[in-house]
Amino acid sequence: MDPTEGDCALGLRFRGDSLPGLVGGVEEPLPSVTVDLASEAVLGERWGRADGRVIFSRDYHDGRPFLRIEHDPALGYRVWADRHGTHLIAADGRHCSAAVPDPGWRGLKLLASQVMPLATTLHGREVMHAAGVVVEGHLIGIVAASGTGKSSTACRLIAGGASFFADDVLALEIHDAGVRAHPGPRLANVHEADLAAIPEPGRRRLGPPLGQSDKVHLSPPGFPSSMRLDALVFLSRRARAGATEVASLDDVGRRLLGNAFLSYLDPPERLTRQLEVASVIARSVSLISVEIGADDDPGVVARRIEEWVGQAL
Amino acid sequence: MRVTIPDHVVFRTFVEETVVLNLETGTYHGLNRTAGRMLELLGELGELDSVTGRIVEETGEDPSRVATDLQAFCDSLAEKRLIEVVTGS
Repeated sequence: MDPTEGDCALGLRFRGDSLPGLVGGVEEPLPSVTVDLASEAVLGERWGRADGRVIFSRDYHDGRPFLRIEHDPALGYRVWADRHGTHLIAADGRHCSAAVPDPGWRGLKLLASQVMPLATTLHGREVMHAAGVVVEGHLIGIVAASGTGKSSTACRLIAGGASFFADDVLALEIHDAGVRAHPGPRLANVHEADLAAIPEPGRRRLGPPLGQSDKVHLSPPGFPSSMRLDALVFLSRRARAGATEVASLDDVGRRLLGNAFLSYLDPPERLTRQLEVASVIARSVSLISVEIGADDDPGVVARRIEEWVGQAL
Repeated sequence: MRVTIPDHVVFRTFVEETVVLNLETGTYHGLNRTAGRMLELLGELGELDSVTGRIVEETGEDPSRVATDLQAFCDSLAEKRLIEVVTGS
């Protein structure tokens, strides 16, 4: 079997039936996941004999179920989201049976936000809730609480010449006393107003739109290789008036561990790996805090990050 | 008194703090630099008297104060099952 056959995301090579959003042209050897597409009914039959325990759930505001993740020690994991699809992932992460009713942004969003991060974690990677962009040859991770402007800042950087690396999740592994990150699938999510504020031709660098919900979902060009993680930028809103400010960090451990992804996966080996990866990041990656000024838009924030990269890396 | 750090406890030192992870509970605990150094020495030396001596060497603090602080720190760690007190030695 050709070790480079099959498109990739988050450090995995997907073989078999095709999934949306994968990155082609990745030549490095990666662990593979075989994919078979099936109907919801077939997956229901396969999972029907499972002794699944719900380990993560999210509901709509009116109480209807939106997302369920179940675990069965023998069969693995079932990931279901309303109108987004159902996936059965083997316990070792090597196989995924997928029912993707919407091959557009909905199907891809569930894959990108849950299925692929779970599968790569089962292959021994650590996942961090962060966007990733490559600025002047340096991979920069952007970490922020929801609504702070992580995606809009990343999109501004991409429109200004940076390369898209990941929208929301970085797959990480320790490598050569540093941390290597694997690129995410081709999906970027940005608020319509933030997208509209990006002038052409930079907006075109974000790729064609796949659809729209509360955000516009875009398909940027995929990044074709893993990269050493050079910096993590922790974005937050300034509590007091003033311009956007770049500063060093002093509470690194808590910040890193606080942004680990898939908190429902908590066997001891995973928790130990999280701590180890956080420790290596603290030693090998430049870590800064960027406090966004009250009057500053994502364009200003992106320029401050570009300036910092030019000076510090 | 002698203490050990059980297998279900791992820790890593960061720039300004040490993060201790209890694998049995999945709970993280943050320690400041001084407490992190104490934990490191408890793992390395075990005996509280030896740890006290090393900290006094490194910091120049008053030995009786270091001993008191270390004992209180160990009581707190033992309560959280982050160290075990070795009895009968």
